[in-house]
Amino acid sequence: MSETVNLRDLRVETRNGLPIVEEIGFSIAPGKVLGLVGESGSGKSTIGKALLGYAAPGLRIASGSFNVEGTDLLALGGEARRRARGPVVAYVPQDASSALNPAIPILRQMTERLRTGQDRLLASDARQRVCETLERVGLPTDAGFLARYPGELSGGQLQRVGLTVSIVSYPRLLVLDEPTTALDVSTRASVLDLVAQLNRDLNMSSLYISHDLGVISAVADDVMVLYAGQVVETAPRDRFFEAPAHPYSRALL
Amino acid sequence: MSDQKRNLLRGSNRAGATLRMIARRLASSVLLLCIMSVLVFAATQALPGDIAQMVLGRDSTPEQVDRLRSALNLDAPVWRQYLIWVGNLLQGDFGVSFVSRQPVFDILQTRLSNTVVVVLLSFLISIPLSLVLGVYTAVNADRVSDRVILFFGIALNAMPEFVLALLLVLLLSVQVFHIFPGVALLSPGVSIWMQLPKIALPVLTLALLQASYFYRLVRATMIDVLASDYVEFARLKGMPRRNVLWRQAVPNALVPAVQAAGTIFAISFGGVVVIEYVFAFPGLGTALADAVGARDIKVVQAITLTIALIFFATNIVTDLITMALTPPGRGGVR
Amino acid sequence: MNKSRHGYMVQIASNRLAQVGFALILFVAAIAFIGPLVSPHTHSEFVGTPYGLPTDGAPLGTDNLGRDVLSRVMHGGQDLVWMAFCATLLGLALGTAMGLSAAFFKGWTETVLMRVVELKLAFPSIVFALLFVTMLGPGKGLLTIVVGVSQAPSVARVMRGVAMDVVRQEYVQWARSVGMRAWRVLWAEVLPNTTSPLLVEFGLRMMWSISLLAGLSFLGYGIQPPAADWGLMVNENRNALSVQPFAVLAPIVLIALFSIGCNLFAEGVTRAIGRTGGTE
Repeated sequence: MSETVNLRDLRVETRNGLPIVEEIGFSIAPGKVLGLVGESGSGKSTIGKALLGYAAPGLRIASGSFNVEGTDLLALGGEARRRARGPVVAYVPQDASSALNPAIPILRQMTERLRTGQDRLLASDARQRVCETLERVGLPTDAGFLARYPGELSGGQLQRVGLTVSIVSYPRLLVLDEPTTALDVSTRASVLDLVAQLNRDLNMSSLYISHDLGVISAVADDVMVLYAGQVVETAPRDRFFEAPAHPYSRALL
Repeated sequence: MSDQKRNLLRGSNRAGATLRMIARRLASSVLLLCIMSVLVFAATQALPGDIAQMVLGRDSTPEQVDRLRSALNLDAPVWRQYLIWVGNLLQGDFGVSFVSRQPVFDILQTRLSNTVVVVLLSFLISIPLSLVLGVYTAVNADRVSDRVILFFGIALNAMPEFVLALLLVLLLSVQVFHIFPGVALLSPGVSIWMQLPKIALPVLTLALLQASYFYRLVRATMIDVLASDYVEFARLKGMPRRNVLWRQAVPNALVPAVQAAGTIFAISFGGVVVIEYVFAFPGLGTALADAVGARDIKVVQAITLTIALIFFATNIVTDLITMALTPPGRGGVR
Repeated sequence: MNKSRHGYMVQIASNRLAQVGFALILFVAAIAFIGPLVSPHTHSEFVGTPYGLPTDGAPLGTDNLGRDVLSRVMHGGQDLVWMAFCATLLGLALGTAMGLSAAFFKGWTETVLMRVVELKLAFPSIVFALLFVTMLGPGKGLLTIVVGVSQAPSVARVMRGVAMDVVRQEYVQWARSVGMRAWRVLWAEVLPNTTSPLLVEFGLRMMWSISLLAGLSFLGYGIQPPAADWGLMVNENRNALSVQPFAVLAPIVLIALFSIGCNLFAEGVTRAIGRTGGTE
């Protein structure tokens, strides 16, 4: 059931109609990683969140079609969109220490999406799936660890928990919003390896957002450059790093 | 070290930290209470001039003055008077009222329990009301309903207590509707719980004052929480709206809410003074108001210190509850 | 530094809540201070039978002794508003001195000052005031001082928070390191950045001061009869609430309008400057 995911002509604007990003489009084949590069404020996160049908307060998704497994996510209504978040598209946050709820133990934060909705899992099945994923990302699975709160984990552990929360729904597309920016170099390297490995093993498509070209070169198969809310170049990784076409891309490198 | 042992050690370290925090709080409260007792003593008994004369007034006989002087130990040096006074307090001897000749302790008992009933009942109304209003207006922030409720909240909050009390009397008792009695004179000997309609207005006044303050705090906290990263992430995760509000957002608003509730509980014992006076309710407040006029020093001292004690006790309880509610890792302990 | 302060002032002045609040304050203050000059009768003249309903001669009726309610209302605000104002100034001055000193000098000064603040905050202001009134009597001077002092700790807490932000800034560290005397630094650098929070506190303290003073008068421990005072009037006339409500309504409405005005003003200023306060 693995098809290419397709975004066409996404436009996100403010309430007053000012564009944040426009004419955004790409395709990602299963098992591939598309790297989205741009400076801070270029709109990368906005695109990432829009793929989940989400616009931050004050913004709205004005137009676009996003096809995953035959459905246009952006044409769906509110409740249908919500149901798609998790099993169809999942989001890995930039800073897990602020994205995870400080008042809820981590086990529940990892299982609660699985335990929601009509096709929800039993507690034991959800927990089992979470443990399988935890082993994959290199975290402990004993009861003591699972009962911890986010405040009791290190930065690297939190990031892996954030990753687990998203993967555990086995999404078709994984949106990773700079998941290694808040980490130290060695942890970053291991998380990047992990992402690449997961992508291959689970045959997901991934959108990897970053401002760091070093990270992109390590993990992406294709590169898309964002400048001032618009795509200025899209190219396979090797070609991009050898001979970038756009002046802005050249400036970045 | 085995995992089990490590966990046990972690647990006992946390318990130790909790106990140390409580001990520190207690010590600080005791110290403040001591300083407060000095202040109360100084303001009432350690003044220049003839205290006994001041209390008894001009028409007193020399015998009466002498009797009072010996009762208050006014001939001893000030510091000695203070120590005797504190010694008596610690033994539960609050002295005798100059006005009614009754032991202050007995007077305080009934009055205090009456006031506590009123404060607790008003809490029972104001807390749920504030939670509902606070969450609702936070979710619907800046819409018309929010602004209207906010205006009423600001208006109620600003009014002195007796203004609100009398407005309610005008509205619900005397002029527009005639639902509740305008006076809360309790029949002695009958339990207060049998006379609830009589205390409806004082309770309502206090509840409205509490709610006007508390709901705004709940609203502000909820607005912050709803704008947080973790609430956004819960939405991005695909959690349903009701879950996001009640299971993701609200639990994080509890700690500030509990602290505010504690403050309001303590402040109520001040606001209740004027409210009781309006309704002639036989509580701590009216006892204080009457005692001030009659220069009944013993009663004034006792009530003032009782209220201070309630404050410190409330602070400690609030701290304990906050500690229990704070998730581990953010300064909280298991 | 000065440019941003100017900007804040403009922001505050154009905030609607602050404008409405300030207008209410001015309105009531006008009645309080100009009232005695233009009232139809003196505050102690007898113009009719007690608790009479409004007539041509007494538009708000008569009070418990047959005096003109309108005239008494016009006389009844002067002392109250003036005392509240003075008490607020005292509280602001004392509280600012405490708060800034605590933030600036730290160490023992801070510990002691903040303990004193905690001590007072653990106490309802009205009980605090009544404590002193018991033996010292309800003198106007005493009341103003007691109310002012009771407000100082709240101000101190706020100002300490504001000052701590400023003191951390580099230019203040620099000034101290080159040996500028502490008071000069406080005066020249720290104080100007506290204007906006001070305005907020002014509104809040005025609200509490007048509440406290009116409440004390209501209990009989503030301004004494036969003087006209809004708090006192409310108490004097509340027995006839069902018969002649205006004698109680008029002073109540004025007190309420003033308090609400102070609260709206404080709320408006808070919103205009944003939640972080007056410093950059």
